[in-house]
Amino acid sequence: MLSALVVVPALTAGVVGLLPASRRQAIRVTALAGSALTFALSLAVLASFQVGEAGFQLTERAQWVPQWGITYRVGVDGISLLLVLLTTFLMPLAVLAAWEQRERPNWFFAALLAMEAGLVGVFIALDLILFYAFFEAQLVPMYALIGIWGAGNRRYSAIKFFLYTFIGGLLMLVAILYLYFAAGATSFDYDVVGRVALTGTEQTLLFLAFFTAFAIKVPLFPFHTWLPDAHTDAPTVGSVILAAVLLKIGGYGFLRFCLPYFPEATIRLAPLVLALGVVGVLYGALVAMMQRDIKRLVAYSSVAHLGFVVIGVFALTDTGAAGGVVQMVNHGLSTGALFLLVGFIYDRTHSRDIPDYSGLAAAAPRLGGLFLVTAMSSIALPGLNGFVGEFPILLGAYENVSARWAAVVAAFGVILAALYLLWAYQRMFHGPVEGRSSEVSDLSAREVAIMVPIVALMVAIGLYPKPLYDRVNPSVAEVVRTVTSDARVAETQPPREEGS
Amino acid sequence: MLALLAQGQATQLPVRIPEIAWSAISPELVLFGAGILVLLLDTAGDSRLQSSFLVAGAVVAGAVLLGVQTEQLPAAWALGVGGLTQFVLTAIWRDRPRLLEALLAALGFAATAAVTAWQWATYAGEVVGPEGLALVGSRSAIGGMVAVDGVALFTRVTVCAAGLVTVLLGYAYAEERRIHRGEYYPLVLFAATGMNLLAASADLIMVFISIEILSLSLYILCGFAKRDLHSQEAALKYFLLGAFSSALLLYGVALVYGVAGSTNVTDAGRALASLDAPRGASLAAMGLLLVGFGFKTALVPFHMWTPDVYQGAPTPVTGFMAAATKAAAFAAFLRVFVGAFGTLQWSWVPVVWLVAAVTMIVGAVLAVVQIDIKRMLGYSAIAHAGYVSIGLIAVSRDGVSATLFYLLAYALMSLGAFGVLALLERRSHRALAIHDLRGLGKSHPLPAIMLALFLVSLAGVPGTAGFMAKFAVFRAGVQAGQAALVVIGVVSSVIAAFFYLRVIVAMFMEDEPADAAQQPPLEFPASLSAGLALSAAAVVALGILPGAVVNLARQAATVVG
Repeated sequence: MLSALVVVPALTAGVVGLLPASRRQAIRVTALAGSALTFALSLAVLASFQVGEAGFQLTERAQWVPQWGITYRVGVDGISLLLVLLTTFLMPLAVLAAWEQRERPNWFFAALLAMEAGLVGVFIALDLILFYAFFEAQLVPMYALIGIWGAGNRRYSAIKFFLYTFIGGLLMLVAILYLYFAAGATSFDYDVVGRVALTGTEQTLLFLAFFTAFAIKVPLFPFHTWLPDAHTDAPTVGSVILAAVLLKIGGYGFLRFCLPYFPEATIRLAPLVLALGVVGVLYGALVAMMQRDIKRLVAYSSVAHLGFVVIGVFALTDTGAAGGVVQMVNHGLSTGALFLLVGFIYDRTHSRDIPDYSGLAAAAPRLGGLFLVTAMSSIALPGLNGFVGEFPILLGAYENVSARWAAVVAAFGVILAALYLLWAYQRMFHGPVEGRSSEVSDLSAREVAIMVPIVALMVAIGLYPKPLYDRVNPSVAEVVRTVTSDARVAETQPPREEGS
Repeated sequence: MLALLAQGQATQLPVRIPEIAWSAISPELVLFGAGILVLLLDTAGDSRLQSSFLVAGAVVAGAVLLGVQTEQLPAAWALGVGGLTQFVLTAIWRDRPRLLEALLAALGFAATAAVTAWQWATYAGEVVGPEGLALVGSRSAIGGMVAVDGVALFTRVTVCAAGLVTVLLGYAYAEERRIHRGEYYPLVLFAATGMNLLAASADLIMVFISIEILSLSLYILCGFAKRDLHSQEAALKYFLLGAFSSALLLYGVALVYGVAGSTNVTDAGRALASLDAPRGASLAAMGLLLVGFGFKTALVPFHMWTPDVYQGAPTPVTGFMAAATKAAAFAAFLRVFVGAFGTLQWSWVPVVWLVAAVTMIVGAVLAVVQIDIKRMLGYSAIAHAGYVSIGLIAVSRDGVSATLFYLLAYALMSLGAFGVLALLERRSHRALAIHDLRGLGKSHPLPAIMLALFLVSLAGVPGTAGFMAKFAVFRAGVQAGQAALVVIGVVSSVIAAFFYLRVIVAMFMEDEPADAAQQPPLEFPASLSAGLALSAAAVVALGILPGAVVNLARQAATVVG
């Protein structure tokens, strides 16, 4: 069943890509049908997922390249389940948002669906090489989305995006190979590779290799410089998927690989990572405040929000890590929605300059209302989804004495978030209808239809996050337990001998 | 006079005539035969059919004789059928000599591949390796001159695949550029004979002879577009530097003989590793051999000829050189250094390590600044030679199989890339710069997507043969404790990704130049399309389900000695 989540979008991508560009209706209907079917399948996965269990479920296994120890193995635990659902939920909406795509729609939707296949693959892969293959393969469609259908300095942004991730990924590949041979060179299976005992130096170096790959993805300060460019120049849907799902590979990777594989190094380097997270929170917020370009503002807000996620994960407490996972979902929803709304405005006026607008709330009330709710969700107003993620993160960080300072400092980030988003909202939506605002017609039925499910989910999660935490908690607790207990065990055991 | 003769008989000079196991070099014989046949039919002119008839008669008579005398019925049948086939084909296409020659050359490559498969079936499983792997045996034949080992057999397959695709690509290209002369196919076949022989040489003299066979053919092929100054320059440059490197190689062979008293690679390796071998002369000999192989495989600092030759040679020839020459030269490199000099690792591994590191970085960095695409691919070929060397440096069974796999994958993707360029050059009638490809994705999606596929594969993105190949060599490298070199390979890969992406950017993300409308429409000749489709399918297949080929490469990880 899990494999179908990869196969269906991949096949749809193939079909859509082969249709002639002139048959736009057939193309977009097929794309929508494929992504909707994938979402339906993911709901079936959700239904058959056993709540309260930590391990991988619904696993599937097949031979791939047995000579090299590569298997095809997929499965989900609570962490990946939520991220898979986030991907499959947003993808039909993204297809709807790109409904009017006129330039080479066949390739556009093919790239979108290929990306869905790659992203779901990343989250469900339980073989390190399979994971790496998906990790790199989803680069190509995103690269195409930015480079072909983007705006502004799109070619530069596309190449930058590709190369940043590519180098991180290749370093990770070397680390994967090292782990494989250290573990006896039998299999790249997630569980087999993770069982190897490593010396302190090995742990640190390998941790850094994995960490770099994921820190670039997150993106963590100072690896974030590709993000504003990629976001600004990507087409709306590209930005949505990039922010909502692609960045989550980073947080997911930390939890899936960095923590359980290298517990000692995690504990040793956690303060450094926390510091980078805190810097990201504050720096992202401050830079966002200074932006004139609303899309860039949202992009920098991602740096800040994902700083929170990193703090949650590296707080090394159950509460913090679970909050981190839920916050990834929340950020996906709220930032995805923000990019969609910004895209709607941009479609109408082709301007992203904040000073170009004033009084949008009066000119386009539906737009104004939805933007306000989304901004509030992003600010983490209690009652909306942002709060139920950010609050446990801060709580979790506070619980861990050595991470307490991070919680205290990062809390200011919450205030800054309110500042930059509300300030932008005030400038653009309040006041008399001036500038280009008069060109902005209110949202169409299609656009409202895209936003309603997202906003409904924001409210639902904000009021009743228990279903999410029920699924995440056991898996996250398992990861945190691995780190905290294994580190102690490792200290008492002699390090592995050289060359064994 | 009589006395002299009598004296000669009396001293009984010990001339030992080795038993010649023709089957060991049967693939080369088939290729060579096909080459001679095509040459004959080309020069025969109007009496083509008569000549073909005579050849058929002679071959069938030979086959009957063979069948009666040695009772090797399968071989006799194959020979007879081959002789008749060429007559039938000649009878059908006697008025279209170029088509006939291309067809016979393609059949020659296919037959060689078939003969190699037969060899494989015969020799596989002679040795049972770890995990019950049925390894190809590691024998030598014809007095230790020719190796019958996995490396030889696997490389023959690679060379034949490359040759087949080259013939397909070359037919339409040569036609279009009006350089379609009859010598083209025999020369490709002779070059491939040399390559196969090089891949199978177990004696340094054989190494030298086969390098000469392939080089002489390639010199001419490079200058085949004789009205094109670039082509002439390429041929001359390749000839001069090739002659130079051959001389160095030969000097190395002489030194090896001086130290070891033998040119057989196994004996030489044993002698050089022995304690009483003069250290200085041994090292000098190995150094000179290294230089010779470095030239042929285009490792830095012996790469100077590569960009110019790759740029100037007719495009299908460039693809053939990049794919097949590299495979054959690395096969010999493997046999001599990993096989024979394996015990002398301490002396040559650090040197090759440095060479590989520099090659990867220099190749990638210099490719970044190129404007001409063929030249860029030339530098990229240098970088890829560096990646292949990682498998070599591993000095292990996994390293050998990774090298073989990489060479096959590289042959397919580089041939594909050059093939698309050949297709595009047909339209523009000149060398292509990157900016000439602007907007190709919009005007001609199919070739653009194909080129993008080959470039993405060269960059090593998962889902393509390039990834699996890179994975294989990196894996072997890390296993051998060469993680540092692998990291250099990673850095080089990222730099390389940049310039591959640049071409893709030009094709898909930039608008067509204004004068594009004036260019004649792009045609898709059947042979070129078939060649490209073949390589593209292979690149995707090897990228997604490489299992079967990986297995073959693992079985083939045997070297004489």
